[in-house]
Amino acid sequence: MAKWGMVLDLTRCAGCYSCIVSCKLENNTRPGVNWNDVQKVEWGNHPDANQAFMLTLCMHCDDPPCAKACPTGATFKRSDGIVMTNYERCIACGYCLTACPYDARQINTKDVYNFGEPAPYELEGSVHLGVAEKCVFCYHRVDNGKMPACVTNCPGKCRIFGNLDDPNSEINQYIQANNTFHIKGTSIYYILPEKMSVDELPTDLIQPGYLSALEKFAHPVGKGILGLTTAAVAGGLIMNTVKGGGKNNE
Amino acid sequence: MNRQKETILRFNLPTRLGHGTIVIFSILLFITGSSLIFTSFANLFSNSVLRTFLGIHRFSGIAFTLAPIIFLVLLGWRHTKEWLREIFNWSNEDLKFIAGFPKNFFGFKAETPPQGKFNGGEKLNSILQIFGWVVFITTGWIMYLNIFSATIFGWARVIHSFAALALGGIVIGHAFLGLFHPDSKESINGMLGGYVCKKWAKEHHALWVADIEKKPQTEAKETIGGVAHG
Repeated sequence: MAKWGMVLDLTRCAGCYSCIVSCKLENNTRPGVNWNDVQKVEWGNHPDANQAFMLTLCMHCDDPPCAKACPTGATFKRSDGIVMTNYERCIACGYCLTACPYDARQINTKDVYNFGEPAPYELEGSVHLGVAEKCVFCYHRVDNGKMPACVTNCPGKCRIFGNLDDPNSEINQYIQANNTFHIKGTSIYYILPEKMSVDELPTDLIQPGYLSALEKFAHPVGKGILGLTTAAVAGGLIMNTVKGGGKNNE
Repeated sequence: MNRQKETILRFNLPTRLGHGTIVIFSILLFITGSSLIFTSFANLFSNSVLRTFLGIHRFSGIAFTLAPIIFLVLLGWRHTKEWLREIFNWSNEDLKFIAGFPKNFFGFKAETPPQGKFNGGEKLNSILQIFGWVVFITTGWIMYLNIFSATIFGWARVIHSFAALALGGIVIGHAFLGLFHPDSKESINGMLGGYVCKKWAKEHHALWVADIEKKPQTEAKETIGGVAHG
């Protein structure tokens, strides 16, 4: 089984936004909704001023907090590492948005199109509205042996996508051949331009403490208390029926 | 209520309306909120039903916030003040009542000292429900408004969920005692029509009845915002 991952080689990014445009076209996202992002980063002063572009997307975490936070099971991680949302089960509660440390998710509630009336291409494929959406590594393409749209359409070839479990894959060879920074706990790697601070990178995945508290304490202990009291009530109902009441029967 | 029996006014109209409103919206909140905690329960419903549940939960949260303020503070403050004074006034008799409560709950005979208008168990339940209301509305509004950090939102969810499950259990017990327990089910009449059987009241709240009997008969009628003594 593959474990899909991506290297973002920022040394090759020219900031053309092809990744954003190709993602929008491939996944048919609404105006204002972007599943990936390009942000200009500048550092230093003249004559040593520098500029690069920081690329971000869903990090497809190994143990995704968004999936833990989801109350309906709509968000889940596939065995190949892709974190998905079943839009048929998503109720837009927003728990995943607050749980994601990378702000990779958004819920669009505006039923608008790019040109007022929906253009024919805008009605093809997924048209998301009122659901927690994010990058899905173009699973529909990957499942058919293709690369994600942002990878295929990047003219600088700064996105390398592949199977992290295969030591001979292009992505693993690229990682080994370059000074790569792995965002720990995720499926994303970065290669930085010279002199660019690592502080610009997304942080390693830190599981929010409240999710552990919810998973290991609030829900199991709370359910235990609810179960015990319900059992006590059932017992009280049976005992009182059998015994015909307590000290004073009205 | 059986009018042949001699009755006594236990709860006035604002209290009953406040309690009734809280009951209705608590049930709605518990059922709809369960779909956000029990995945197996959520799986029984379609997406549109779950979204409706979420809408009902948010609306009911607003009603749950306002009901005690409208009925218990604005309309029935005099009675609410008496209730608050009583439930925070604890004596050895209250502790003895609680010590005997488990036996009585399961239908065994338990000797308990004479109780005031609210027995030790009712006092404890009242305090827990007031505390729960504060916790629910604080954490609920934090999540509803979503204007704080993700960490505050996340911890609000933890506290909200735990309080709902734990207090939900206590409320089930409270409902059982009020509706079905042979020793205390007379009390539901107090929350529905306001009056309870005087004989029952003497047996279960002897100090309260004795206190009322000392008072002049002019106070023995029900008025909105007025006294609740019969």
